[in-house]
Parts: sequence; structure tokens; C-alpha cells
Amino acid sequence: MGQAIMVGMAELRVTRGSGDVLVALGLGSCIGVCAYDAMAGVAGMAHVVLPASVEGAGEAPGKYADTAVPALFAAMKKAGASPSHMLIAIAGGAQLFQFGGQVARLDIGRRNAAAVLQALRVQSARLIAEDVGGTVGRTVSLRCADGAVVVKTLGQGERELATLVSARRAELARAA
Amino acid sequence: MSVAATALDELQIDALREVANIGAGHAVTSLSALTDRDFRMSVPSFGVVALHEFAAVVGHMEEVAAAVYMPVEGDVSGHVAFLFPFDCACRLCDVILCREPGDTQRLDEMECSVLAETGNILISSFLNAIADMSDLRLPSAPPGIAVDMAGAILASIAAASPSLGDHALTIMTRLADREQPIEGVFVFIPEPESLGTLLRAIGLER
Repeated sequence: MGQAIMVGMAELRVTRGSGDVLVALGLGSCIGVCAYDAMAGVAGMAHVVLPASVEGAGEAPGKYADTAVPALFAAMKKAGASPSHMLIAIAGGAQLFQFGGQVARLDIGRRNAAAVLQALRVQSARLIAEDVGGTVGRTVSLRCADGAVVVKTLGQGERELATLVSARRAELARAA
Repeated sequence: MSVAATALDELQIDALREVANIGAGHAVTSLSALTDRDFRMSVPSFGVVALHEFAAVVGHMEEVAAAVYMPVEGDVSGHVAFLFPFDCACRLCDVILCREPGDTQRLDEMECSVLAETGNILISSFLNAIADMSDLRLPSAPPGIAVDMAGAILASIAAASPSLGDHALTIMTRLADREQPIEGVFVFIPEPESLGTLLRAIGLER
């Protein structure tokens, strides 16, 4: 039986359960990093809160972009995923609060997005979709069965952001 | 002096709860005066909340809420916010704008501006009360307003703290109007390095 696995702030979760769905509820300035290896059937998600770790803080690796991304990749590998097969999608990094017409203050969302993208580049990750920035909160989920990434917002309801399966693999699946 | 939220003893927790109680009391008085209604408050609940559970403290994470948030940067630094469920925020606008009950159905620019100003008054009352009591400066930056998922709002406030630990100290007070349900939550998150300052100022030196 599959289950909804909640990924709270600063958490990082990996699953092989084909019926499971990884969910990060209510992302504001935080970012949900979704990773999926269709071949191995491994899905992972990190709920990043801040851009860069403080030295020697010894805190949850999922909290900071620069530690969450490598930790997510390591956890995915441990569960049997291969980095070369992994596809990535990210969502979040919004600026919810409007300060008298200007939104410049405390723009952690933008900094989070930049830091996550940088950390993904360091890992040579294959980022295939992103839904970051803006001024609305998001809930993001990743279905382990097929790698579908769904983003939900207040204004627009649910929409599928991407399916984390390569075009070639999807073609093969259709042919089979 | 930075104090880990998890290292507080019972006496200190009681003292901080009392500080919040007095601050929230002033805020409720302001709100009652502003709306000419009889608002009551609950005894503040005090929690040291693990970060991964943080956004759930207000209830349902995806419930729509309106929030006014003001960062505090002075002798004591931290974050103060007022959260109202969407329908309560609409009712509050009805009251303040002298509309018929149920008239406010959307929170557009006008309503958001009213809520921001109301939040500004309440939060300032809260901070002034604490400043008077502790003889510390607690100046706040102008208010920010958001209407979105409650979880996303709270998480964004928590992330605004540069020294955010794995746990956040939150002091929450519920207020409600007795005639018509207008319920809100007051959230105060002091920065870890301000906890020691605040405790010292109220005579509880560690």
C-alpha cells in the first residue's frame, strides 16, 4: 500500500515504495527539490529552507541548499538510484509578503532558488523543470509510481509541472 | 548571549509566557478600541517547535490565511505576526470598514491595506508593552502582508530568521470576538540571541 510521505521543513526523504507520494505542504520561500530515477524506481525530496549552511552547525542537511542537494543525491544512491538516471524538478522560492508595494525585503525565496540551482550544477544534475519565484505559496508532490511532479497553488489549483522520466524511456514505455 | 530554545527551564518559560501575555493583552485592547468590539484572548501557549513541524502549528497547512508580519530589530530581535483564517480576515474588514456582515468576500488591495494597518497597530501595541516592561528597544520594520496557505506563510516567517536553529521558540495567543467569530493567532518568535537579553531584562539572568 502506498502512502503520502510528508517532507517537513529541513527534512529529506527517499522512498522505493511504488505507491508512495512525497509531499512538501505549503512551500513559501522554501524549495522542494524532487529527484527521481525511473529505472530504479527511487524517488526523493528535500525541503530546503535557507541558501547556505553555517559552518559547523551540525544541523539537518535538508535545511540548506548547499548541503541538501548532495545529501539528497547520496540518499538516492544508497537506495539504489544512479545519478546518471536521475531527473530533477524544483518548486517554491516565492516571496509571499508584500511590503508596501515593494517586495525587495527579505527575498529569501530568490536566494534559495539561486543556491539550489548552483548546488544542482555542482552535482551535474539534470534539472528538467522548475517553478520558482513569484508571490504565491505552493504544495509540491512527487509520485513514486511514475515520477509525476504536481504543483498546487491557491489561485490555480493543481497542475502537473513535469514527469521525471526521460523522453526515450517514456517512448519505450509507450511501445511496451 | 544566545540561548537554545530547548535549554530553557520552567521558570524562564513561565516568564516569557507572561511577557507575551502582557504584550498580547495590550494588542487585544487596541483591537477592541479600534473595532469597538469585545475581543478576548487566550492564555499564550508556548512551544519549542521542531522545524519540520513548525508550519503545522496553526492547524491545517493549506488553509487560506491572511497574515501581517513585522520583523523586529533592536535590543531584542525577532519576528511578530498576526494570522487570521481567510473568513475571519474578511469579517475583520467588514467591521473596520463599517460594511454589512458578509460584504467582504475578497481581500484585494484595499482590504490588504486595512489588514496591514490593523496588524501594524496590534503588533506595535504588543512590542511597546514589552519595551515598557523590559526597558529594551524593540523597533519594528514596516509591516508585510500575505494572503496564502497558512503553512507557506509561517514557513516564510521562520526562514526570515538568519540564525534559525532546528527548533523555533513560538509564543501563540488566540484572540476571538465574542459576538461574531473573528479569531486570530498572534505569533512571536524571538531570535535565539535575543532570548538571553530578554530574560536578563526581566530579572531572570542565567
